Amino acid sequence: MAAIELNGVQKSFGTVDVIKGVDIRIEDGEFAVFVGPSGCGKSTLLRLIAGLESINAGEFLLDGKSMNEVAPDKRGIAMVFQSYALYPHMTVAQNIGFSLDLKKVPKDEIRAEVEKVAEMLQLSELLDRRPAALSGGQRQRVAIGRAIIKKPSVILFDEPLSNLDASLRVQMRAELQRLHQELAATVVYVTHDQIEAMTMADRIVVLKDGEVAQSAAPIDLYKRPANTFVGTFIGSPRMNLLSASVRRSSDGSVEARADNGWVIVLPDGFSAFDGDRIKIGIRPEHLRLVALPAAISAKVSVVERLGVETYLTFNHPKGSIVARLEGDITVKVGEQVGLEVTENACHLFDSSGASIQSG
Amino acid sequence: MHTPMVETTTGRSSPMTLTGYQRRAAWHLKLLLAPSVLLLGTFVIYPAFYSIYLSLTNEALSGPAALNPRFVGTRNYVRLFSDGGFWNSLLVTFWFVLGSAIIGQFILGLVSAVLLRRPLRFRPLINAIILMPNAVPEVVAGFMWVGMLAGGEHATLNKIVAWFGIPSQNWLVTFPLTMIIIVNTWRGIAFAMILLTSGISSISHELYEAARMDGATPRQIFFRLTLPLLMPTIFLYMLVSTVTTIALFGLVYALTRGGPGGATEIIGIYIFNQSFTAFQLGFGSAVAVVMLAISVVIGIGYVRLLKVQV
Repeated sequence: MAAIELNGVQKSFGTVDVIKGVDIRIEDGEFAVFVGPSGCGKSTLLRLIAGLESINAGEFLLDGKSMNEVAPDKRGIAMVFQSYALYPHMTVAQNIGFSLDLKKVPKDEIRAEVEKVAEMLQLSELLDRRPAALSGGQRQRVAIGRAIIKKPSVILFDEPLSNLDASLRVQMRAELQRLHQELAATVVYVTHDQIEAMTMADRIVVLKDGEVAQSAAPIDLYKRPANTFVGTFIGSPRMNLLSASVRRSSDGSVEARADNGWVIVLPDGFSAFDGDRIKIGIRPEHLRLVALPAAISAKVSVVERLGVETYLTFNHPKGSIVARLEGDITVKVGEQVGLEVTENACHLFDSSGASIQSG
Repeated sequence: MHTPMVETTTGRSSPMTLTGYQRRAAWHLKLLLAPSVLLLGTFVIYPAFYSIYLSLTNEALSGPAALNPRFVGTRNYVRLFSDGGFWNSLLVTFWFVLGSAIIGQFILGLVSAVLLRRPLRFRPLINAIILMPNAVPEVVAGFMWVGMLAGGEHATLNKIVAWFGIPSQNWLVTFPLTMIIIVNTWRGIAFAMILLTSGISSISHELYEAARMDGATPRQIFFRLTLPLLMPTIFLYMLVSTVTTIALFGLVYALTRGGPGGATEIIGIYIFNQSFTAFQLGFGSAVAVVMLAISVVIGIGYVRLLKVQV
């Protein structure tokens, strides 16, 4: 059992408040990913959990026990660093077995443990090499080996794949997921890459300016973003945001008149009055082309043909709109096209950016 | 990595011929190196070879040999190896280098470097105190210490030890070798500290965090992480400080002139005394050549070790 609970956790460096009261609960065995833009505090939060930084206010509970004053190595937590932080003067075997060696575990026992871990990570052939003689992916695996030999209940990863090339990253993603299942440890993983977050996480915690913007399962973040920040952060190309006014007619129909001239019929069931200013979030994949004349028409500014899909950009002084269309679409720049929004696909936010959708 | 492909006039590319640009670049490099080469050639290489030549003659500053120096072959060297004064000065130099450069300066420099990385209250002040001795010219430092260590009740050290009931004495006479070791240690801590501080700063912060996560105590972190990773810097320091301490002259000459009775006659002073006090330039040169050879051997030894460690 290793459930992580952060209650009102705060951290500041001098006068700079980096973490401004964070409440998170991560269940035992969950793969949790912290995402957010640079400087949002995700790495700091990880270091608070690791014990490398002290918590200024609030509490960090591991299985209900306060860890605020517990030394990093006594928390049962292991960490994989962004730069791997392998000891350059030690062999792979010495790197992996260092924590056991420090505890004065007998040499043959260490060797056996190291070999077991090495086999799991396909490092058996490399045990006598120094880190300098390893590739990026191999170093990464040594860093993971060093973490898992401690049999931690929680493993922390600080942007572990950011130094690897794209193809290796995909491979390591799959390997990390396999490892997570084998070890059954709780994982907290920091990244700024939303694809990593979406593909690996059981739970994503989106951080913004030292606060939790939303904490939910990946698909819930995509389908029900709690605010415009999460809406635009998750998904690529990013969600289109239109400022609009709500019009409620006497017949019960509701529509939004966007500042760029688009009129979108909305299903009711959200909390906004007639005349309220709202923001409409439309994901690029929820726009499709229809024949003219159409309720919405726009002039194509940019065409990006990727073969499997096509991105169309419509520039407008009130904000550009991007549509992501399946297949190879041959539309010319400057052409006027009709557009339609997938039914029930609009995300509605109030003027401050918070979701006003019910359910 | 790869040879730049060069466009020739025919339009075909060739990896072999140098272009005008490359030739100009090579010229620039030579031009920039010229002042150093000229200075080193005039004041290091030429004197070194001239010393070797002198060591094979009976060149002197007075007497018949001064007027008419002769080639004497290896006679100076033969005499050297049976000269008690030479062996004495070699031994004094050994203890001096070991005591001041390798032990004193290094250990105190390392301790200072490690301690001053932490946020201490008077860090700038302590830094200044350690660095200052190195800023003082060595002869000035020497004479200052003469005042400190002199005999009589009014000398500084005697005043201090008087509080503990120790009778006053002439420290440079009672403990001559120990005193020059202490003075040279005092002077050289700064250099060791600067070099080792730079070595410590080059060790990644994340390594220390990883070690903390692995459960290493501060003591284990120092002995299992900092010290091994500092080895290349330590050997570099040892190389530089050993060679410069062997060649030291001014500080000790200002303190003791090699006395009393040769107790502090390090090899630099021995060479000076033989060449300019006894006026035997040929013999002095032979000592200098031997000393140069010893320095080169030690230097090669360190460089070998350095390569093994990295």
